[in-house]
Amino acid sequence: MFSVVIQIFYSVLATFLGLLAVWLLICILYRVTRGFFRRKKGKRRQKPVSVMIVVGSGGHTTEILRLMSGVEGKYYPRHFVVARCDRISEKKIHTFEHRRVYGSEAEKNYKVHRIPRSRSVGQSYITSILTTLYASLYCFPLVCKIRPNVILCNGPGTCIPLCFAGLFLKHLLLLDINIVYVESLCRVQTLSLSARLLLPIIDHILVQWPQLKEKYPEYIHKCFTKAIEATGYLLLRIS
Amino acid sequence: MTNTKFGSKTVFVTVGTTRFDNLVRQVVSDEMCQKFRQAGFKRMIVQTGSSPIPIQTQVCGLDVHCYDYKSSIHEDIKNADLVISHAGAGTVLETLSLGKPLITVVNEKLMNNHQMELAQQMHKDGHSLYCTCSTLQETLAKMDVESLHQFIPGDPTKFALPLFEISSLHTHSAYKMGLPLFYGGPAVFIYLLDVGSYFSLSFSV
Repeated sequence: MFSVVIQIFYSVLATFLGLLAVWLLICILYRVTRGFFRRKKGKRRQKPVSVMIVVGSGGHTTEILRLMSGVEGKYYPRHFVVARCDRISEKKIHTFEHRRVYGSEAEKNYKVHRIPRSRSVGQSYITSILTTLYASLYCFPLVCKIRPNVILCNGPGTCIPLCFAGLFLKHLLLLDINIVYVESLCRVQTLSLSARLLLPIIDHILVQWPQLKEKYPEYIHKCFTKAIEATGYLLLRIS
Repeated sequence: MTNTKFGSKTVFVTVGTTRFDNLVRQVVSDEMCQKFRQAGFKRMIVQTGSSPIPIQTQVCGLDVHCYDYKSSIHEDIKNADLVISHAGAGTVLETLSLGKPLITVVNEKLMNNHQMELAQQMHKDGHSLYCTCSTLQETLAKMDVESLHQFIPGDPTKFALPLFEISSLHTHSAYKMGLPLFYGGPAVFIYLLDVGSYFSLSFSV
């Protein structure tokens, strides 16, 4: 009797592993035939966009909420992700969302999720690697569950595990996702550490000072699509 | 003789959500409060964050009121005639867009001091003054409100167009073809990946 259970268990497991292998093969074939990051003109997304907004702490919160106050329309549901210990940001999000006026009932849809903090202010780099790994235990399932179409982050280390989760699912062809990094207004001369870490994996980076655009031309231009460049909004002072 | 170049009488000191012990200690010191009195201030409100709250309620004739956190410091900034702040972007922008004279004090102890950049840029553009804890006294003495330029806040609606452009792009051309396989097929793996649920963790509020 017991051996039958084990047999069933292993056959199920084998099926999963087999499917996984096939799926990875499909992903690799897709990459080889279609190329990396090649965007063609074609059908554009019309449906509402599920946005994951990574809210940092303090000034980062104010900034990203200010950015969100400038957009309206198809961006719902909005999923705000905050560090678990950060009560103030959470309160700010609720006041921000309650104060806003939306056209339809569906647009009011938002949710706040809490994850452990990746790095608190002043923490050393070595221990912050460990806390980031711990945070990513929560981040992967969270991204899987929400399945956002846009990840929007603007600074602190909290966004790093979330972006990696998004990247992972994107390359497994499980998620139609754009990872957007908006550099904080207080970065005038240099990109922040999280931006430099994330540069290879994000799809778009937006900067707010012309100095930065001149300093990192290869990255800033690489990440921009023609459509955005044409609009002339290389984002100078949006907040 | 008292110098009343600031007219009205409140100075607001804020350190944001983290701690900045040096600044808090500095502003409630006898010397500094005397300087404030000379500049014509009667009241000082200090937002101390995680720094220890000083006990004094009056130093050298200056009324000192301290608290650690508030959900919004907007009112305090509005009622103040001079704001002394850490270089956090939120406070700097809020103060400048309310048109209040601002002295940003840079926290040298913070790792990889990037806050300096914004403070410097605002100083370069002539919107505010910036200093460190040790040079706060001199900066206050030298301050001339008339010479500061008005700061015009940026427009967040500029963000709408780039975000619209970005969000209307599909990541993979497979999605453009609308293959259902790419949406529903591999849902199995999502459950395999769901490491968190093995430890019975909850995520949403």
